[in-house]
Amino acid sequence: MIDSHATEIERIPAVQRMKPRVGKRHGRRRYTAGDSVRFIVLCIGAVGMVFPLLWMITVALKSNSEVFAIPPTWIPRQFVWSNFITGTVQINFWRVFLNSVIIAALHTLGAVVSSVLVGYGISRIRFPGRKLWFYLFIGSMMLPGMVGMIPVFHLFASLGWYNTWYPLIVPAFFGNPFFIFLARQYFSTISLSYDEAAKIDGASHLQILTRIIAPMSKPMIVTMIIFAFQGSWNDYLQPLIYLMNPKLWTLSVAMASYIGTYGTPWNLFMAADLIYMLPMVIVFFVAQKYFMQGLGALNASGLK
Amino acid sequence: MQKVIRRPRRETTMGYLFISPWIIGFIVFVAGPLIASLIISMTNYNLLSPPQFIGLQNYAQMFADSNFWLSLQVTFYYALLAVPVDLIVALVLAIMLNQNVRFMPLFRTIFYLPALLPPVAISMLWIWILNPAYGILNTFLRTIGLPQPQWFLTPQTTVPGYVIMSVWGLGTWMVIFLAGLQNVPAELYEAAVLDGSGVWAKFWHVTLPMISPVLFFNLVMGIVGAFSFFTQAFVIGQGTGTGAGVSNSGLFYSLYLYQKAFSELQMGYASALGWALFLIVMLLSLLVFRSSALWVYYGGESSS
Repeated sequence: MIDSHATEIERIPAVQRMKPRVGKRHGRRRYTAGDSVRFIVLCIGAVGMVFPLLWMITVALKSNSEVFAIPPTWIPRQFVWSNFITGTVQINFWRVFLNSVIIAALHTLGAVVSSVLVGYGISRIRFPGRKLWFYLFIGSMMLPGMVGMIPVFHLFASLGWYNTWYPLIVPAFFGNPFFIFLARQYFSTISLSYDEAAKIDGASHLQILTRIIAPMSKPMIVTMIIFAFQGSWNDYLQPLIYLMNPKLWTLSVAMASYIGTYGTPWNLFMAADLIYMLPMVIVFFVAQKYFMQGLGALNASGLK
Repeated sequence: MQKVIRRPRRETTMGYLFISPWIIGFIVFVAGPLIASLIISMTNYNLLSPPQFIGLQNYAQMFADSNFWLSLQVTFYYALLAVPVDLIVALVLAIMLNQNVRFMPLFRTIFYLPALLPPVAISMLWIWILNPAYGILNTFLRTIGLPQPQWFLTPQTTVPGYVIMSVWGLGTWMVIFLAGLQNVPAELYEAAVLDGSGVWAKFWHVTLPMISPVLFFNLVMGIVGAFSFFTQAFVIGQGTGTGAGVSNSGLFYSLYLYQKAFSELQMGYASALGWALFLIVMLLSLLVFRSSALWVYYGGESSS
């Protein structure tokens, strides 16, 4: 069953669209006891979720001695804002931060462009063998990256790409199975009549994709951008294997080596860690509006 | 007549052109490495001298290797705890958020946020949260008079510590469930209410069947995820100075593979571990796929 908000709305005449859909939400009904219980349970869960982050912020603001106070204090006796500077200077943080940004941006560009192209091909062009290729995407989505790690390492090493950024960027340009799946599912919720109308007007596939399908798929593409950026920003294994030179490191490797050094100053460390997390939080808040819609397509017929 | 024949051929060319990034990617980064790693797994190879063919010796060695069995045990222990706990909690949260509840977008954001954060950053944070003396969790347990485990510093509580961490990061599952729930037609619930169904009946007969494809997807990905679990295990092992946990209690499969490949440079043996991983994941996925006929419902078709 393939169904989406977009096509559903088009089927409803304009006048009806104004009215709230009966039954979807019960409007302003009275709050019941069940609602209150649910609200309280969610609040407890939310506090549990936020606690570690709040704890992290307070540790980041404490002085060296207060970090090891027993029992731990919740509000620092003295707010040491300079931890954010001291903590980041120690590991050449901003240089490495810039490395991570450049790598993540290029990785995202490659993954999104290639996955959208492949997703379009697999969902909207009829050609023999497309079913087979689709099943191969699904199959490779389940393949743990560790399985092929050693031969890929050899390949990149023999190309002279050891200790360069290429292994972190170039593979993204060949599509990501999960993104292709996401694109394929989302595209298949868009009516084929758009393509047919455009074809009659003489549009090529590339024009159909860039002028019609892609603009209609903004939520999915934004979702893909978030995931691609996250994938690169958060990745640890690849930079760990390929980057030996600390000047080329990404933040994940730099932060992990920070903790590995003996006698980590926890307050400084948490301060740097917070800044490492921040871009992900910002990207998410900026794009959140589209995110749920984009993921909604995943449900359309699941893995079938 | 000629036109009729030419058109599909053009479509085929276009189709393959669009999916060509993936085809190259599949050959270079998936299928090629898979075959290459099978070949490497039959050699003795340390990167420095040329590989020597030794037949199935690596596999024989694997069966006699107690650390191999230990890593399987650790990984299965983690998967059996974390996958069901995470999926059930995520589903309950998603169901609660999908109903008439105040501040829904805020809750959704709070529950999802930790899942976005870099595993390296999270690992650091949790080393500190689960610190037996200074950590916030044990402080809390002390306050309410419960025993305070040593977490990552004793073998018995190492894997449970990782499971607690994984619950904190269940946002991805929750969001995918939520997307699935929002595609369940409200009419089905209304019909169920008219039939006099209670909350449980609605859950068992409407919600669960309708989102079973999503549940299925999450289950398969959860299993694969447990076998790819690396970054947290590696970083926390380094950060607590225990390597792979006290007495290797945190020796996850992927971590063991990494150690063999990049610490001990036993590329042949590590490739054999990689192939074993491939077979294990395929077998488990196949089991889930096979059983899915019994419990996954695809709308509009009988689930035969």
